[in-house]
Amino acid sequence: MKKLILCLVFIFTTGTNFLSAESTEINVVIDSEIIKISEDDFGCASDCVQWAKGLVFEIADNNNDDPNDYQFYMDIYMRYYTGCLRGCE
Amino acid sequence: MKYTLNLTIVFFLSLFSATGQSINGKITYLATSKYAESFYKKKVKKNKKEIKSNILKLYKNSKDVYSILEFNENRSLYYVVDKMEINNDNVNYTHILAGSEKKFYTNNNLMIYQNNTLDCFLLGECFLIENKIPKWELKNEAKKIQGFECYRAVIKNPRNNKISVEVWYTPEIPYQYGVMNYFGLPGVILEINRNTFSMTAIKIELNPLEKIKIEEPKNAKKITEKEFKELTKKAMPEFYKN
Repeated sequence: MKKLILCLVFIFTTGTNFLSAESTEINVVIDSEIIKISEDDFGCASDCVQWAKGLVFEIADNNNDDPNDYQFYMDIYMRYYTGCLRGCE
Repeated sequence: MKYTLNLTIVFFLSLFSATGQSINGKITYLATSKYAESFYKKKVKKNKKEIKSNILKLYKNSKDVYSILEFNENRSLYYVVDKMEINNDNVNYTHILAGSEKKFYTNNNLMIYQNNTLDCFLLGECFLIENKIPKWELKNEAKKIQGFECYRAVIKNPRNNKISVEVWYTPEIPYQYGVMNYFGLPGVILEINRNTFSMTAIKIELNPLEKIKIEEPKNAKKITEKEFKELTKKAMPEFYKN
């Protein structure tokens, strides 16, 4: 008898859970303004890469170095790049 | 028999006295790039105005920094004392060349001799990078730094065979410690010159009252120089693109 009651409780609870589940619709809203901002950000980041890289390669050239040979050139690049990115915000 | 016994005793006594002569110490260096600006002005003529002005600004804004090498018989630790100023327009070139926020450890045990860089900046987590011993060329030139007899050693650029790094080391402090990842000479490095960057010992404290204790860094991933380079290439492919 106990088993039967437990089975009924189980069926009842799972059944109500299924019934309460709602179907969700995904609404894709294309917002031109949002896209424009993202593109601007990407452009700015890309500019930052070129700018920081240009500076680092110039410094390395001035030192007669290959920037890939020394870790500190990457450090200089990262500092310039992240500093420049902050200006994009 | 007696002679052999005496010889053995002398050998062991000398061994104990040699290991007993452990030196603790702290060396303060002053790093500068003060000649970078004038050197660049003389050398560069045909550059884009914007790049030129940015680089001149970088050299002009670079400030001298102090760094420290602490050591005992088993380990050394090198780091820059001054903190890097976080400012968009102002990167301290000398600070970066002197090692920036990185820490450099050298292990000098019987089992292991290794130099590692602790880098927690570049990839957003802490890595302990194992450095290769530089290919030194020892020279027979000497000079005194802070009263210590120093000898010259250089590293040549394999591409053009020109000297890229010059250091002065002292066998009077007989450990193979150095600054940053420049190590492996028969004495502690007291001066380093790389292009317009130079760093010289300005204070040497040997066997201070309080013994120098250096803890090994924790929570850092151990990695080789090659592996770290691969990771940086993956994280920043744009830098390596031609």
